[in-house]
Amino acid sequence: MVLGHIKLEDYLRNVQGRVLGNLVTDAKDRQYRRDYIFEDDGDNLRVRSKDGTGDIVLIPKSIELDESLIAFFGLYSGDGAKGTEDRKEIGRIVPKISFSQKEKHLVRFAVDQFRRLFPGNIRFTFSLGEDSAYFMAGEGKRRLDAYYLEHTGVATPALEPLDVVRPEINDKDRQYITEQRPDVLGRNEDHLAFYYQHQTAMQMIFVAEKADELASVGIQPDGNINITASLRRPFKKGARQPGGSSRSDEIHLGGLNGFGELFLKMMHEIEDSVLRNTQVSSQGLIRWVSKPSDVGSTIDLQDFYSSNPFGRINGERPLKIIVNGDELLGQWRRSSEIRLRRELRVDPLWCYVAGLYLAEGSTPKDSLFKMFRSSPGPMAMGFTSSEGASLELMLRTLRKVFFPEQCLDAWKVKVGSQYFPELVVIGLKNGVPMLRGGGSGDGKLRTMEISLAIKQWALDVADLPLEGASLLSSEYSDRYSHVEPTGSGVARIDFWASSTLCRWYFPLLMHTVFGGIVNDPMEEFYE
Amino acid sequence: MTSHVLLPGVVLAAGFSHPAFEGYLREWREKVIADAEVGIAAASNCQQAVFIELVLEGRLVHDWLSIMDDLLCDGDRPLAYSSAYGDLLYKFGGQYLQSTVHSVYTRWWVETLCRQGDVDHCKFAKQVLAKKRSDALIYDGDVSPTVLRHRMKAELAMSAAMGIEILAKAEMLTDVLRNQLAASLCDPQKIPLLGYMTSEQFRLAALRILNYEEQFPVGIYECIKACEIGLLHGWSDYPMASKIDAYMGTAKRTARDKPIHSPLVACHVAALSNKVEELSQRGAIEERLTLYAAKLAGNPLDIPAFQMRDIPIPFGSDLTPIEAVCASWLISNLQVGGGQ
Repeated sequence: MVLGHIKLEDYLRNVQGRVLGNLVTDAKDRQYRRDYIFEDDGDNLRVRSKDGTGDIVLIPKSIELDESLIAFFGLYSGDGAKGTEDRKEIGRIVPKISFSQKEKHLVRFAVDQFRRLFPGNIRFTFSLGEDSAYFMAGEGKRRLDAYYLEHTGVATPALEPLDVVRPEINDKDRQYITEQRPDVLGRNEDHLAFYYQHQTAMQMIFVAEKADELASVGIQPDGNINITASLRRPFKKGARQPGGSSRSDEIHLGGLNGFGELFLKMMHEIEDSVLRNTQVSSQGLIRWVSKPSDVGSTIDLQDFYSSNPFGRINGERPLKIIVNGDELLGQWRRSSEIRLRRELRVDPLWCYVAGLYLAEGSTPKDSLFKMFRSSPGPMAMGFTSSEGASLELMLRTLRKVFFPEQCLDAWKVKVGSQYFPELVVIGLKNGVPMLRGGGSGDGKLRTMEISLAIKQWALDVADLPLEGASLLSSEYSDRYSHVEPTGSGVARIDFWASSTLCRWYFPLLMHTVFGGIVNDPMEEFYE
Repeated sequence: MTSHVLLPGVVLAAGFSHPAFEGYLREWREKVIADAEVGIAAASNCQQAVFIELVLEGRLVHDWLSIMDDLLCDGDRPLAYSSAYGDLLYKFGGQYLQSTVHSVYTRWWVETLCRQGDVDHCKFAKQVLAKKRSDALIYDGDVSPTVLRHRMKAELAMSAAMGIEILAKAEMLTDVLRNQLAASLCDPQKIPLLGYMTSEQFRLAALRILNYEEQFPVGIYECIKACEIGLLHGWSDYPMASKIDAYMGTAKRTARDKPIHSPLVACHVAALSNKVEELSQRGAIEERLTLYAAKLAGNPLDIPAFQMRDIPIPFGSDLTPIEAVCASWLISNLQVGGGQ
């Protein structure tokens, strides 16, 4: 169903090709801008950066926004690259379109949506990044052994000295050798030798794995599809132990150089118009059919869980889904009874957040695809973000299906280790030391004064993008639980809800994203 | 002469509090009293309310001991939080019931202030000794099971300073204990020289009581200088260069972080400057201290909170009673002609 349009031609004419926007991610406030020139090409525009750099991109003058495309922008908002800092200009980012995703069905979904948006010649490079420490023990070592056995007839050869496998080291090697990692056993020289000795083998293993994965969802290597593997020096990417993993799966798009700013602008105008519930986005790039909360088809939830192919978990329907006045009472086997709203409007908010949750939600992705035909195991509902807009959109979405008191059990603030010195000082300003929880210190902070001192920051962050109070601050303020010191990252807000919600929310979410392209999720996901 | 380990160099008496803070301090104290009426109390709040009374009135006015008796005791054990204070965090539940080194120290310190000669120091000393771990450090391993490596060094040093002060007063610091504690406090594998001002000052305070001041790690001047970087005046508690991302081992993700100055930290720096041997270096610290005090005198309420990268929202506390007391102390010392 068409819910709105990206009015690209109107927008570009209106802003005379000058695209300017602001981006706040990971608590960094940055701007992007680019001047474009464009010309007619039938129903499309040929768009190019005015400075002559970048690619000529063919894109429709007006793009229909249906459920899956809106969800795609939500997905990109969570998993997509936003850009890299311009070294010549502080505070400016230069966006480059690429996408982090491992789950193969989501990869296929993203590829389809990119092709739909950009009907010209775009190329995909699938890049798998991993810490080479992965191959030093455990599953990685077994895979390395198997590779050598297959190609040389013997298992992984003994480690050779660094000066043999890498006679001339470069600056990065030299820096690596001097680095200190107190948690890691062994010498940096040996780790570096391992890296160079097995670099080709490690890459070949991953390229083959990725090719198999893509083939299983119908993506075959061709002139426009390339697969690469990027191994980092041991313990450099994030593995803490031999055999540890820090895998990242990226999709880089070719043929779109210089188009990142316009793409980000589309995403931001969608998000902002949904957040403010306005029919036309602030600069006119997005025009919904009507006020966003009034557009979209309506799903009868009793019908959905009784007859829709997406309304099954582990091949079963809910044990109970009955009308009870203005609401539904539902229950799955081995789950608790829950109250639900009777209808759901699949509006832009719902669609956008479906994609966003797929990217940012705490639920393992593959269980969302496997749940239709097999037991999903323990499921959890959680959402983490450092941006108030994302939190607000997520809470509003849950309230479209569930009642307010069900949508949030509790929330906390997670703070990465690079901000522990700040937490210590905040404690001392209040006269107390910082006591951590758990053996490794990443449990609930035991010092209440620090948790309480951070609470207002979180509430203000939640309110920041809104004209009024956010749902977090106006309705869930009293469910603030604690500060949680964690491994890494900027301070962010994390909330969770009862796992009972999962069995009702996830089927609807998956239907929104894939309902238009997948008839029966039991058959088409992970057969 | 009343002093407190948190506020090195500060003599808690009437007469030096800056007028700009008076309203804030009185309001803050009233809030603590009102909260206590409904059962909400924390040792840290009582401690700060006592600081306020000492600097505004020169003596204790409110009956803080009874509040602590009623709300912050579990039998003989001083508690950090009352049950109702625990309710300020959702589902913090029974975790409020924690007797920390800090809560023992606070109870002991307030009791010593109120009852003077009539304090059972040995009782508190025994509670402190119960906190001594097999690694010969005193800390809250029973409350926070975090392994030594992942504990905050400021916690280790502060707990040591507080515990040792009680043990000394109770005359329970045997030679064996002194040697053990001092060796652990100077062991770089247990408490490395991080160059964090408060942490190092607590270490110095503990070693001084143990009569092992000469064992204080060398190089504190360089640490103090490193804490000036990025600030026009005053000091940060820690050098920004020391902030690294635990996973990546690089400073890449901390590039947008900004240091803040703090009167509390400045008081700790002033105490640490005694360990700077070179007179010119010490003079440089005193000069910066004087300039900082002058800056505070001009704008006493400019006591910032942290900011999370570019988000223009205070991340945690800015002005607190402790900061107000330290700022007042620095300003008053400036007015009598010295930075310290």
